[in-house]
Amino acid sequence: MKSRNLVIPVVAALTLIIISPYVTHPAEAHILKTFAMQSMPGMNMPSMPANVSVKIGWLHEPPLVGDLNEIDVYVYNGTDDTAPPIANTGLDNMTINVQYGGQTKTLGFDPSDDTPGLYTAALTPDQLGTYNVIIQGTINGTNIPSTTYPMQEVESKDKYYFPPMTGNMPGMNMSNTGTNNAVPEFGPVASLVLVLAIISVVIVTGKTRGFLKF
Amino acid sequence: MMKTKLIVPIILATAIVAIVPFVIHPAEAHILKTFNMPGTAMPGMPSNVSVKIGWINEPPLVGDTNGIQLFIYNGTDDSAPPIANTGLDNMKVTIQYGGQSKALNFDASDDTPGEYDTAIIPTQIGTYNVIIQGTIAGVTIPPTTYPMQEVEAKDKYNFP
Repeated sequence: MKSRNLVIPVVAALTLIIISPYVTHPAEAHILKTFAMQSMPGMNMPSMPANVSVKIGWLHEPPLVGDLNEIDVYVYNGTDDTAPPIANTGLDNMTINVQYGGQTKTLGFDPSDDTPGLYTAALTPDQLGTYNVIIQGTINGTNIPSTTYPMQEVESKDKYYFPPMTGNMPGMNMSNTGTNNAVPEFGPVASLVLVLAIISVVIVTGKTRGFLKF
Repeated sequence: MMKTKLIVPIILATAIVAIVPFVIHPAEAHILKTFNMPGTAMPGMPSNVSVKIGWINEPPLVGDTNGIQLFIYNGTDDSAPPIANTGLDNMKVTIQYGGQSKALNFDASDDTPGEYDTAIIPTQIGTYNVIIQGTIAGVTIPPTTYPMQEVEAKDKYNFP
């Protein structure tokens, strides 16, 4: 009887575990959230925006593990991304962290030279999965509470190789990557062959010295 | 006599060998092709669509993460209005290298209307082809090959 009572919760739990990866929608490419300024009685701030919007995403999508990428933050003075941008000073009073698993890193953003309202921070994701960006602070007087942006999932490169990779790629110089410990193919064998060849030449030359004399 | 007969063909052959690398132009960066709707144009439907395809990062280097960029225009050149978001809904796009093919899935760009992107990491040096087929806004696109800019080794770009 006791075991029968356990069957339904166990089946339900297993079903949830199996279904959850499909039901849980992965983070979208770029996410925009709007923050409203809370009005204070008797306070009139005509030059301040009533709403600011912050849009965040990866520069290169899909983000691939081990590839240098960037977090892009766009700041707008309005409710959507057609509103005027807030250039250069938009993140002066903001703290922006990136989070993966239990680890957090504070990001330093630079305003884009080309796109007003865009701020970028370089980041190389070294794990597969979902990273979160958490923002908090104030933008032009609008209070931004701690807000989480789930980033588009970081993927493995395997599915993007074409033709499918088999061993080393010809013409791919891996010596300068620093992180790659690839050993040149036949490296030790080539050295051994070279040493044997030199020894053979010396021996043969020594034995045929008389023969080669004219 | 025999020697003089050989001189002209030898000079010609040498000249051809020397000139060929300069005459045969490698695949260009982005290639635009225009497709016409046969017969009378239907109101509201484009009579021509153009598809421009190229690598996202050029020159494409072997082993580097790259992507195929595809632009769709409602007209005969890339100054025509773009066909955004739904342009590839009825299209099949494949990439080919040697005897191998792979179907590509494109995402519409967030920033540029009419642009569609897909990530790919070329693992071999040489020319890849992108082949498109289907319909765009009612215009039939027959199987059409776009030779992509040649994938190069990284060696020549290392400095020092």
